[in-house]
Amino acid sequence: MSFQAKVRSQDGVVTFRLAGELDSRSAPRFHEMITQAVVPAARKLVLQMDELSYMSSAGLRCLVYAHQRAGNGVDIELVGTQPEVAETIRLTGFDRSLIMRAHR
Amino acid sequence: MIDPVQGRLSGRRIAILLESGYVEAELAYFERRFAEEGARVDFLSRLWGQRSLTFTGQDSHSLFTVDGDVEAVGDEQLAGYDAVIVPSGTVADRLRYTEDVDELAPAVQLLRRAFGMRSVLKAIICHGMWLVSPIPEAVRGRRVTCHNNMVSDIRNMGAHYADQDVVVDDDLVTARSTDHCHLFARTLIDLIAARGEERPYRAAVRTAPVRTAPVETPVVETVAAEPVAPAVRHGFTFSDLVAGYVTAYHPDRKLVDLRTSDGRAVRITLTSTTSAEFLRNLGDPYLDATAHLTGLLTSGRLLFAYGIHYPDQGGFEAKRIVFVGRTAGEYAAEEPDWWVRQIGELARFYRRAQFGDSTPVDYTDYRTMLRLGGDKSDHHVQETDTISRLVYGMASSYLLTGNEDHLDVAERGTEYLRAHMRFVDRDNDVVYWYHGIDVRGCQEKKLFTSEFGDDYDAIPIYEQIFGLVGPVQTFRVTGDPRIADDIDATVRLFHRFFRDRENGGFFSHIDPILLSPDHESLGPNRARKNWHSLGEHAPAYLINLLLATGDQRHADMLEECFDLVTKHFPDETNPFVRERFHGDWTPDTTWGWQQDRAVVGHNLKIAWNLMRMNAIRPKQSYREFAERLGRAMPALGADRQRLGWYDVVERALAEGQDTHRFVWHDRKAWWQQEQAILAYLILAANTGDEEFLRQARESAAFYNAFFLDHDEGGVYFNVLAAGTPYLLGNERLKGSHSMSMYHSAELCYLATVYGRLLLRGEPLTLHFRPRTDGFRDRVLRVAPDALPAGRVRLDTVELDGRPYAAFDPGEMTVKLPDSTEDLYVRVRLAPTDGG
Repeated sequence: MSFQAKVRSQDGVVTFRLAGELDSRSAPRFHEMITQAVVPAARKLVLQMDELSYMSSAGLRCLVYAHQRAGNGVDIELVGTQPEVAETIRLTGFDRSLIMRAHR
Repeated sequence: MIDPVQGRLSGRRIAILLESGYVEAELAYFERRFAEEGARVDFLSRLWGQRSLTFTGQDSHSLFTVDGDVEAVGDEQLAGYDAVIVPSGTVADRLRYTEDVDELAPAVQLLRRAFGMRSVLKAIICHGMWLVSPIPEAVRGRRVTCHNNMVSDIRNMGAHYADQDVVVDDDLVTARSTDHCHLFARTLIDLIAARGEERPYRAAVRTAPVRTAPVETPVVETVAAEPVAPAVRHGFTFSDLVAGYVTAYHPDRKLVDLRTSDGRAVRITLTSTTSAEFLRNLGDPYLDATAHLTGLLTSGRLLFAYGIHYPDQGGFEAKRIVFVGRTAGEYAAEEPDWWVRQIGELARFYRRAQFGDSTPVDYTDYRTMLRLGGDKSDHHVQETDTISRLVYGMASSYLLTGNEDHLDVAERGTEYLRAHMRFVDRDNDVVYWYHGIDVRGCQEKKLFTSEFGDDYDAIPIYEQIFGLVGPVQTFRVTGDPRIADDIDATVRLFHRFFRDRENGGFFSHIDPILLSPDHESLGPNRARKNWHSLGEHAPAYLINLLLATGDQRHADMLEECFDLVTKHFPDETNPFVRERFHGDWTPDTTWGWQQDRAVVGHNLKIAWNLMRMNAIRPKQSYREFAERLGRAMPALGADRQRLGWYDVVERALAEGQDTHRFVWHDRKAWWQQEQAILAYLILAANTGDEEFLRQARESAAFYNAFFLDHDEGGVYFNVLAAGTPYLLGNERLKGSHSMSMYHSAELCYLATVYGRLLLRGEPLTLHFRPRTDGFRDRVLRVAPDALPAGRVRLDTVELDGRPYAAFDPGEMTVKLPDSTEDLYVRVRLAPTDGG
């Protein structure tokens, strides 16, 4: 299933709803979306992951990069991450930098 | 032209400008006087397109024919003159004639160019100063004399009039009037004779050498004839350092004559408050030599003298003297365990600074930034490279000292890197390393791309390379297979994403999302190559990895890199290497701060790594390039007066320059000293060349005399040219991105290996700690470095304290037994009889 992303911003909380497969072909689009969304006013980044079936290392690099460029103290919260995707994240050590929740 | 005869100025060359209105008696005197001393005198004028012109004198209208044209004198010819003389009479006034009043007359242009060459004396007498009036900036602020009629003219030019018959202001010599032409000539002859060895153009323009090599005899006459020191000219005191070998000591007058590294004579005066000490290592107490000072001033001994130049008598009064060895010809850094003790002290400093007394160490306490005394600031970043460099230093300390605590720090550091800094990319089957992490909050923040201006928003290969430096050195000791896997995966990263399959070599940066070297987001780093991307693999990890594994694929990669270095880095028109390139290897002289500039230490680093490569797979091209760099660098990047090595200089010389200009300052950085010491140690060890050995000793003497921080521990980042620590800004830190414990420890490790085994023929003990699962083939490779074949053998092996026989002396390998415990292997290496 192709990659889909919807972004919504409210009170400094930027919420992405991701679906499908975030692979190396769709990564540049996600990179552009997320770097635009993480504006200085953003306090928190929430990613609804339950419909995301695959995250490539390229997709994860977008996320890590966006976190680095976000201001200090900006949390990233991943909600409903599927086990296979969670393992990809764990291998990069990025799980140490995230809040992972089963449900909102 | 007048034929020279043998004399004090034999082989020297003087130009005299001429026109009508010259003073016959003066001209006749100059002609005879300089010829008498052996100088060749050329007469120059504006010939207006003629082959020669004949001029008349002012008193008896004598005729004088000139065939030298001022408009035909090129820079090389001009620089070949020891002096350019503007004589008395109306010569100068006629020569400043110009048909276009907005253009400088040709003779004025020539004089202006001569003012740009410090090595050419400008000699102006009487009314000759007229010729300077169109270029007053040449004499502004300088002391001159001239004819009484011209005093207000020279004051209008901004010069300071001195009521003397002859005035010497550095390279400008002036005389009052034609009546003083004999004093004027006398002064010029003395100055030219004394300046002889300073003249850089000498060799290029002369056919016959006229100077003999400096000799180790008293140099009283030469010193007396030297041009006055700058302080004398300017009338103020200043402090400075001089380094030299004692040639004579005059106890009655408390004078010491020295010969500098480049053979110049320098005289120092001792005072009642001159202190003296012996060079000491980190951890050593102050070693006073003041009480024995007079007995220590024996011929041939190298010393540093810090003191003050005084304007009144032109003297240099020494206040602090450092002897680099206990006797003449002895160098402290050649004591058998000098560098071993030093690495132990460095490790102790960094261990205490980063982790205090806690055992085991906890890397959550680690901070990249350390203040001068080793305390931490409120900077909460842990950079991958600095942990890796610290790990390298600790593992190297273990290799040399066997200190288990240092190995523990190295192993825990490697584990920390694996847990916190490593990005395992399953899709591509590679590993890359985060720039670092920010540990300010409760969650660590990954710093993925570089935070440094040079590399911002990109993944620089430099950081990936140095991410391996510590793990690989630890792997040499323990054989930890988890480290091996990470190393292999990072090398795959280089080959898959940084490699240029079309033109060879590795790109310097890739973008963080697509891992492409050609992404537009890279800006000035797009599709570029540099010394780091090609050459830094070898010293940082690749040679050590080859030593630990014996895997010839690593030798292949080394060979490819150094073949590209020897192909693209030399520059036929410049002694410095080229350092930056576009993807197709065309030189890049516009990048960032580098422009067309040379990092002195990179040139030296290339030299010593080419020699190591030559030991792995010998090639004439490696050795020739390394030796060429080794021979060229002292004149270009070293401080011949004080010793030590400079930082970054302009590669090109501008018109009139014979010294490469410093880009920012004339400070000396610790890591560049390391490059020089290792370059000349390794060149000397491979070639047996005494000159290389001398450079190694002098470089090590400066480093050990001025970089060791005896008060706080560790080494200083930068010192001023005269050796005083420079402690401002980032340069006061002990743990910056480049500092940590890599360069200082690498120096200790390799200086020990080459000094002991190859230069002094001493045995070397190394320590290893193979894990139960260490070294998959259960072969421990203990070759201490990429040494020339057959020079060193493995002499004895101890396993857990008992003699062990399963080793190959020539291959320097130990066959490890299977074991349920980690092993302790202590090996003794020795030079072969033929070595």
